[in-house]
Amino acid sequence: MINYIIRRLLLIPVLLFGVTMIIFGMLQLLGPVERSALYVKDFPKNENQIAGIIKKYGFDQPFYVQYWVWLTGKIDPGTGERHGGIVYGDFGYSRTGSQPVIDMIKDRFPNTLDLALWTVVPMLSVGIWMGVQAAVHQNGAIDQGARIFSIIGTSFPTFVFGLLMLMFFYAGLGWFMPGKMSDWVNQLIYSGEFTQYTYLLSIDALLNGRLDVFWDAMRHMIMPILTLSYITWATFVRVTRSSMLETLRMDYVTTARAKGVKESDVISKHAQPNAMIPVITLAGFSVVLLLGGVVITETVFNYPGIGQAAATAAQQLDVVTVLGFAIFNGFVLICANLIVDVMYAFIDPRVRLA
Amino acid sequence: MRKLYGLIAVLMVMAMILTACAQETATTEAPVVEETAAPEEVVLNPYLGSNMLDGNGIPPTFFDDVHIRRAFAYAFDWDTVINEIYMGEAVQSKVLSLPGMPGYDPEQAFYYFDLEKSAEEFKLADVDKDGVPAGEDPDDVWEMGFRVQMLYNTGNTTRQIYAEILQANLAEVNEKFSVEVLGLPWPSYLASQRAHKIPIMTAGWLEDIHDAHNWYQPYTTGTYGARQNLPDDLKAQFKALLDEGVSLVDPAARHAVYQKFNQLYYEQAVGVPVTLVTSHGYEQKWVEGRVMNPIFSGIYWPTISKTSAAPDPTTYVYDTIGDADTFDPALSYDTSSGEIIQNVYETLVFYDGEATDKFVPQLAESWTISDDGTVWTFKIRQGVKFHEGGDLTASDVAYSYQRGILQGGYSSPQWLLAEPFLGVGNDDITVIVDEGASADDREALMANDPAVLKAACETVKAAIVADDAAGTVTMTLAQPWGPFLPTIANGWGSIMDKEWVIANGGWDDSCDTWQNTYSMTSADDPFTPIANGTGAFKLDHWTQGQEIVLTKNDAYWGEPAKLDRVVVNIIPEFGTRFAMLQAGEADAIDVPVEQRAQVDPYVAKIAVYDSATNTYKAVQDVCSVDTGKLGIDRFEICTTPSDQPLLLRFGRPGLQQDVLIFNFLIQ
Repeated sequence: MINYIIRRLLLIPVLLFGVTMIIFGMLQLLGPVERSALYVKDFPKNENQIAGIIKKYGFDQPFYVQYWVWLTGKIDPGTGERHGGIVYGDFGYSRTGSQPVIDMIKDRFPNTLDLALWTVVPMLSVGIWMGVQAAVHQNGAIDQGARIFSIIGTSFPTFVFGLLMLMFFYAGLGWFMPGKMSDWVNQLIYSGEFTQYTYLLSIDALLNGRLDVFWDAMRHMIMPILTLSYITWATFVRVTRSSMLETLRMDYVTTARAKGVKESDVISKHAQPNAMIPVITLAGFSVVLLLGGVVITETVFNYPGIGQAAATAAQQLDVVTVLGFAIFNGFVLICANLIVDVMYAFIDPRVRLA
Repeated sequence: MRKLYGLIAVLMVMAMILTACAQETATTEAPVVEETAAPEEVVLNPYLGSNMLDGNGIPPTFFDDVHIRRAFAYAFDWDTVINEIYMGEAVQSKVLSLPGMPGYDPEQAFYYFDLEKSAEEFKLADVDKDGVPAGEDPDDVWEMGFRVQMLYNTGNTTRQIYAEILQANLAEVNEKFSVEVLGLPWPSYLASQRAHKIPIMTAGWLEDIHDAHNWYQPYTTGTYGARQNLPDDLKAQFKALLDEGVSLVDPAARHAVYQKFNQLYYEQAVGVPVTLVTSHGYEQKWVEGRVMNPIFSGIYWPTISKTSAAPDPTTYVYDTIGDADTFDPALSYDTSSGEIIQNVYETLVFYDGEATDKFVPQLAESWTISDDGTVWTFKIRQGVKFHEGGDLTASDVAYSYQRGILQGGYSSPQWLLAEPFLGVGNDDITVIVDEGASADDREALMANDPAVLKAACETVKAAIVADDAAGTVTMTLAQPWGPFLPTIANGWGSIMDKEWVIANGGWDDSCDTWQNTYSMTSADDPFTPIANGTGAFKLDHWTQGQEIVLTKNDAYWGEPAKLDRVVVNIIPEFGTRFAMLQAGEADAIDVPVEQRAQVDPYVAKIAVYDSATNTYKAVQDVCSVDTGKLGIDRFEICTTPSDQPLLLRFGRPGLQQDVLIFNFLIQ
């Protein structure tokens, strides 16, 4: 097991190296002028601007020079400082984010994590509960109801659902708001009276004993949480339902019933744990997706997570930022998958990691 | 495990293949096209159809015929643009410059929508250059017809609709005239423009400084003109008029020169001015005192206050689209950064309220000009403190100007400041070092002879001299410069604290080292995320991609700000911004023109611009104003009850202009 984990971890840098090389190579298919378009939103105001940008950022250099600079950085001829260089841990400067990529990730990943953490709760509990109920009442009213309810969520375009939520709960009722926090919380954080232990706002609020801040954070997160949950419930309902139905037909379940075990115990103690194995795979996969950032939801609710920033960067061909996020996301993805695999081995004794 | 190694191997091979492809494409850039122009394999421009006048394309020299250009101009329909794109919030621009500027003449002839005139001009054209006008020549454009593509960058609906208008109208002039409308992603569109491949380009100009020079120069000898392949003699005529106009200080004399310029531009139909967008702003009714000067970068907060009707009367929240790039006033050249800079930093002179051509002292108490118009002496205000405690001195002023010119580069606005000091055409410090060979290239600049570098710096230092004892700064220009005050009244003329800049790693004021920090990128510039000005607001914090917060400067030398706090939220999604406005949480938001119909029902009050007095009229009930007369019919059936939350400021022309530009020699 330990061997397996170590081997998987050692592979990470090799994989990431390959991924960055491909992304970098693909962007080289664009010419220097196309790539300087990131730095001008419309035609340049001075005729010499584009030529200057190409020179400053070395877009006319051969591919290997540019890739080498990205890997090892470049010594500033004037100040003697090194700029960039992924091997030195410098992910470069994000043009679309107006700050170093590493700071962008530091700023935004806690927000994404915070949102993912709270989304997991209703996503899993309600999704699995509905799936189990649907299976138990197969083809009955509850089954049909749960399936229809969840399928509506999946078929709704996320941004439409999100904007409807905004109109209803924010503009209409004023209960929940977009963004991450209210201005008074922002002022509180910058006043120094609020210690940021984890940089996850909701958790920090609890650690500081500030229930008002926690409530404010929740009011900002409830709409994205509901949106994200609702659009994923259908998948959970379907997988849980079919897995549960299959398990309920197993011989050992019939045996349990024949023994005279209560039906509720048959379902919760005998059938459910075994039916959960495919659901855990799906859950792991969903959490990984959440950690990579959810572009549309974050954009609609103006939630400053990873997805929003990565999407903006990709749209504007911000190579440095895209590469930084690719590396970070690759890292998170591999780690999260590893954790899921290891958990698997614990839950299902039949699985052996080698 | 073995599978993974296999995968990695495949990845590497793919990367190498891509590398090879990439280098191939990188080397087949524009210059190669000329080399391979052997007769048997002519490189065709994909936007010109057959590249010949055979009814299925146009020749590359199509637009060097003045009658063709005029015919296109008469086929353009301004009313559709004003009503469809701008929903009445624009006026036709008849000449390049704005009303009220030198050279603007209301009597000046201009092009208008007239398909018969368009047909006449087409018949006068001689595209095949056989001396016979097309109306009598069966081989020419009128009988043969043409096909051309008009490009826009995807997402830019303005450019797209301009193309569609020409498409529809030219087909009506003659059914053999075919314009195809083609959208390209922004990077490809820009690359086509740089390669001189676009037949008709739509260019929008947002003024840097409020002066005629800044409107005329880009379209003829400047950045847009350079893509137009104007014949040399025509270009020389424009250049002569421009150089004369900018060197005159007397407005009447400038008017005469620029009038000639406009006449030439009209006769030659070098381009077609389209519209001037009028300025526009929705805000909550509880906001008071906003000065809407079109030359400002966004909102100017020192004059703004909120009534007690607001839920939070001391904090102003503004939701906008774009984040700032850098707060270094010398290098910042985008509106979002400029908005923060103009509230945090200050300049020697500043605009007088809503006026765009009158100036009031700001950090200068007064100034004098020598008789020949080349020597400006500014008396610097005493007792002004920077946010971090430093005192403002004459040396700070001189240093800020010198730093700007010496550190500029072409991604910065310093070309506007360099020309008056270094002379017409010398728009970057590298031009006087090595004729611009090392522009934006620090390594190449540093390789120059140290004596030459030092001399260039000394030239700048000699032109801008501080006298701390007298509290004055003397600026000696290379020649009289008509628009000098407008040039220094904007963000790039901001005064920084010399000691603070040096302490934070900026240029150390020595002529031996200036080249080491020339043409910094926002990434390397230590002044990108920090600010230390003298303004009524100071920068509290900037959370990139999310918000910028300003707080009141309690030690301000002038009238203190009325707000305690300004929050600028960066929210790209319109629906979210609109929801915040409806909830009363935002005091103002950015509303793109396409979405204004959604916001209009919430308008209760309107402040209309009055061109006679150059100010906004008093705030009125929207139902009491006949908006049909203003050219907007959006409020005609007035059902808006007066308890709606918003105020609309409306109707001042002159922020932004679009021009259709013909390419005389399409490549």
